[in-house]
Amino acid sequence: MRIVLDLQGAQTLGSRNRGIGRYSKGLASGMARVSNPEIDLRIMLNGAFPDTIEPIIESLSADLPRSAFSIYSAPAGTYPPPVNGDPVQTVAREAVRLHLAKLEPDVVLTTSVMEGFGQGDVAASTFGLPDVLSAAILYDLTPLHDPEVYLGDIRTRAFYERQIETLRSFDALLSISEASRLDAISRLDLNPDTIITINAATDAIFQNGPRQSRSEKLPKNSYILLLGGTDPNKNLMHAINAFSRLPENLRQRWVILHAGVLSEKVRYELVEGLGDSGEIYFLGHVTDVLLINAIDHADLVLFPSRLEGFGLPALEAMSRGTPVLASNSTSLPEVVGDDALLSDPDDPSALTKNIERLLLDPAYRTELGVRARDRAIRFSWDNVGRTAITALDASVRSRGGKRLRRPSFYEINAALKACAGPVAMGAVTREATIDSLIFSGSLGREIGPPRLLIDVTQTSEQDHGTGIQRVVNRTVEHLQEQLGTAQNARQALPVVISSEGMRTAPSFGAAEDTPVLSRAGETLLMLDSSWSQYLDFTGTFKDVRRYGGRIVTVVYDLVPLLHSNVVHVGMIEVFERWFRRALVESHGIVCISRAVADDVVAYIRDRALPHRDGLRIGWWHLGSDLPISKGDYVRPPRAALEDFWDRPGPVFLMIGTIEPRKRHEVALDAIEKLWARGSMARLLIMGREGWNIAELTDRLRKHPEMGRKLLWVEEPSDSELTRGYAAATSLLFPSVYEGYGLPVVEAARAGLGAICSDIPVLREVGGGALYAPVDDVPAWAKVMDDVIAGRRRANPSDTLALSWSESTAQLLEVLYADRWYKVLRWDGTHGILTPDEAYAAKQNQ
Amino acid sequence: MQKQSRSKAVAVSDTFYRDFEAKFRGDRSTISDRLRVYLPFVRPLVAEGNALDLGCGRGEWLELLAEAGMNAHGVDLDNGMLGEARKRGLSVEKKDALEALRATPDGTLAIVSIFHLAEHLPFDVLRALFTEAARVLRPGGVLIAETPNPENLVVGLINFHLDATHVRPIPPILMSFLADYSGFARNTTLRLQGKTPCSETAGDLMSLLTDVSLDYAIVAQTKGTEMGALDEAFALELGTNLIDGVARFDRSGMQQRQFTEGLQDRIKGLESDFKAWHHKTEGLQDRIKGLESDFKAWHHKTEAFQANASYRLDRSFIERLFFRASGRPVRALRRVLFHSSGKPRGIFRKWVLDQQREPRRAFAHWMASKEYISLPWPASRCAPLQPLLEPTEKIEIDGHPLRVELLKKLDMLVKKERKF
Repeated sequence: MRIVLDLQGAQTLGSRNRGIGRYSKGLASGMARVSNPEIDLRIMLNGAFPDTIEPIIESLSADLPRSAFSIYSAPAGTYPPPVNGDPVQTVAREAVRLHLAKLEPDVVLTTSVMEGFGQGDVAASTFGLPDVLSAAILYDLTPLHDPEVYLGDIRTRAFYERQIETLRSFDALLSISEASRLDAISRLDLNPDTIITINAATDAIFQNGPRQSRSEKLPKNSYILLLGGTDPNKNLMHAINAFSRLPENLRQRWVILHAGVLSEKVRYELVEGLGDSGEIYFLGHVTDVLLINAIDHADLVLFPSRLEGFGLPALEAMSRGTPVLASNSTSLPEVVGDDALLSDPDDPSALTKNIERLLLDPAYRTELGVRARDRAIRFSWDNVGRTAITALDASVRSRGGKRLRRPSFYEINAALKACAGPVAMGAVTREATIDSLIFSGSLGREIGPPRLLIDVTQTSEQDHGTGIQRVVNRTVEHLQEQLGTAQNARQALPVVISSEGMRTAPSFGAAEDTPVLSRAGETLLMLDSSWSQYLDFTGTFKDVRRYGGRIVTVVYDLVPLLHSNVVHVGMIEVFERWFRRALVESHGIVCISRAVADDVVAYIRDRALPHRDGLRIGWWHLGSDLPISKGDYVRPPRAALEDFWDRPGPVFLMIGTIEPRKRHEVALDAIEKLWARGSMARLLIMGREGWNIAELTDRLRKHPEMGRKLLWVEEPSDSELTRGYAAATSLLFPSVYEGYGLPVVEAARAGLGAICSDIPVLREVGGGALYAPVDDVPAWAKVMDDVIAGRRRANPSDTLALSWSESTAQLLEVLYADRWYKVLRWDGTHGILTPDEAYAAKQNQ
Repeated sequence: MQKQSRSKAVAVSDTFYRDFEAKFRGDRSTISDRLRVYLPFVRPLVAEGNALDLGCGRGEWLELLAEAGMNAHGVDLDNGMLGEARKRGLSVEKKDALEALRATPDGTLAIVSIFHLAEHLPFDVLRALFTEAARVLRPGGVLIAETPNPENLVVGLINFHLDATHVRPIPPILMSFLADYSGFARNTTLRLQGKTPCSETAGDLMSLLTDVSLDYAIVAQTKGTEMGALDEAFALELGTNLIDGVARFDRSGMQQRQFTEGLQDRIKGLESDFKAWHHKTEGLQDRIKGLESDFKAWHHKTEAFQANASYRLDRSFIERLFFRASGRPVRALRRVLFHSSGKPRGIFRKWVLDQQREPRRAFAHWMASKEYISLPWPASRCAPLQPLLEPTEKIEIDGHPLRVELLKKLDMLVKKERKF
């Protein structure tokens, strides 16, 4: 699930230093720390506030890679906005819409709906993209409680009402407290199912900050800390009244200390209100560290606020273990929890009683403080993030949306049309409009819905029919089939890449060989084995990335790296170079089995190879079809083979090119053992001779049993293969390393059980097959013997025999439903570059 | 009467004691040798009078005295012992020790001896015996009393009690005091049958337990003018006492400790030397690394030069015909075999590249040179790895291919808008 989080709330001048800003940042980090590779969290930032961008990226760098951040830009509007709305906001909205369309989210979560009033803010909206769940954070509806105070100015009121309408139109709302939620349901007449409470939390420094010695700025004698701002709803006078009713001795021993910014007028009022009955000091603006200090050394904290969305100061005091006396209205009972600490905000005597009780009894104070701290631990950003993601997940599922993401393509012409109005009015220049649209949408060289580009360079050049090329052919065929249906506007396009760029592939059904221009947000799937020409593709990769696309590389196996003794020497170097480059260029790596994915992760970690930060690793399983002979020249079956089938005795079948990796010699040794005991078993090897296997093929050719109990068929035809699957007793697959194990799956499809070597990938794929240790000839002989005697039997129906359409469905899930397996982070410091790489990197700087 | 019965109780059975002595005390010759220790005391008194041995046993002492020329008489209560003594022709009598002394008139004897008798007697009897002995001896006569030495811890705690008839161990200073108290002018303690201390055995607990003298004797002399003759004998310091043994033990322990401490100091010294050495070696290693890297750098520098030089020197005639000094093929050859981008032409690819797509020897030098690599085709193949933390890839906005088109579209739409 891809969630795009709009962090404008942490950037705008109006919100960044207040509760909304802190909440947004905290929520982002909490959501980022939910470590589920299937949740792809992206953060969208407004380019109008460039000095906030780096700090935000930096503060979240531990949890999110840089590539998770994207920036949009909109032309600046007028401040304050006119009553009927600022026309520039239309352009801004279009720009953001294009930006979102390129990101292809499942959910868009807006952290601050009340933006769009300042300079450079973009007013929140639901953006109207099909199939995208729009969600927003609901803080509180304070202005609606006291419209005369907050909504006096006509422009403000118009703006606020507009934004409330927008709030209503969101698909889901996440509220910061239960009280807020109930308030919104009743006042705005919302459907209760669409609002979910996710609570709030304090910064980590409040939980973990060390207790420092008393700061110089704090009064020397004992004090009670009073929190709350200038807002009349903060009810500071109530605290003053309650304090003045305390007995004389208490009023002399304790002073009141207020922390926070207060207007001159309010300060004067408080001092006057207190009069001679006590002393009050003002700290003014406090940093977090000083606030923590003040809370730590206070005996009591008063938070008499009457109307709160959540009541963060109360939670801050609680996390330090200082008891806080608060009012029992709105969200404070939820936060504080302890009835002993709550009192009526309009009844000073109740508060006086509480204060007196706590001041007189230090032990009770400590006890309450400890209880408060225990309660405060429950409010953490991790919890908030987790709740938010669970809520969003549930909402997405309840809408019954298909798991595969559809391209939320937004037609540029519609955007231009919408922008024509403001430009005609003269509110914004045409260049500014077009520039912001191009930048935000990362428009490509061509306008159109993003496609799935599939690299078929090698196969289209020369199709040898190797395993990989078979996979390419089948996968492309089925991808085109599945994506080409009317529901999905996404197109699967096979491309041939060269140093000049991408072109269509005539051998894969394209009408003619035309150049392919990148569009915004496309996925380039490197399906083919273009290892040696990889360097030529650099330009294309840059292009794809530039226009907001991503590159996903397919890794079939790591044979040249892990079992280099079975491959040609030149191949190892080419492969290694390709692999290292692929790690740097790709955003995701998809392997053909979970075992290969584990190998890839282990290889990267062991050698600390540099890769893209946030590299995603996934896997999918290949399909298997019995090859349909499309007008194949059907040779008459060989005489030798006919004879072979006519003879009695169980037949063990081995299919595939004879290579050192496949360990045909193990099967041969095992069956020779059985022959020594007089078994009637026979071995049929079908496959042509591979490389570096002359010794074995010699042995086969010169074998005494060749033609009788042993037969080797080079270049088997499809009908011979089919017969083999049907008539054999069991398939033997003693290979020492495999990417997938296609022969086992194909055999299972045809109903033939297999005896496999005990390697992780065959365990994953083999299902009901029988297993024997690698290279252990006696064990193999034993298992084969068991099979002949009927003591053990492989169960081919358990094997993962996917059809190609099921396999491509899995691949599409990985690509477009975020079914990733692991996400790798890299901080750029421990990577080991080879000397020429380091030299080259330095040259590039 | 009680003492009598007690003394009688000592002689349990005739052969028991003899057998016991035979087993544990040693045979005659051993005992005789041991008794020679007293000869310095005996010889000066030979002419003075007779000797009386109380509890004479088999009579070894009597024989020795006889050898020295003294008249000696012995008493014992054990018939078996007496029989043996008589067999040897010694003058012995079956009589109680104290009775024998009491029967002797004052100042008549030169030597009175009780060998391994004191421990069999109740203390009162012993006191009485000493008093009587002091009466009986002539001026300058000696009383010799030998008894097991409880200072030897094994003797005092274990071996002493093997003989069930032993009463209690008597520490040397007790007997010495008894001698003083009983009126003897002087006495000396001789510790006997102890191992000569040697440095090897000094240090262990075994030595402490076993080296201290097994027996001791109090030789007490009565007052008299003839005392002087025994001065030399009295000056003898024999044997090992417990305190010395313990002191020796402690000393050796201390020596061991000092030795270990010395070793530790040496080890510390070695360690600090080693550390210093190690630092030096590290310094040297660093220098070596520095030298190595310098060398590598220098080597790199000269490699190119060397390759060039070796190339120039190793060329065949044909090569010199078709290739210039720098290794570059002559222009005609270049144009035939290569594209202008540097890529070898397809038809002639096999002439230029071998099976493994590596340049053939003739072309290798040139194709590895900077000049060749900077041509478009090789340059694209050797493109270096891109920097990895590049900023979010930016698109050029001003030069964007669609910008003009989009502006035009927008203008059209705006014009339409303005029309309304």
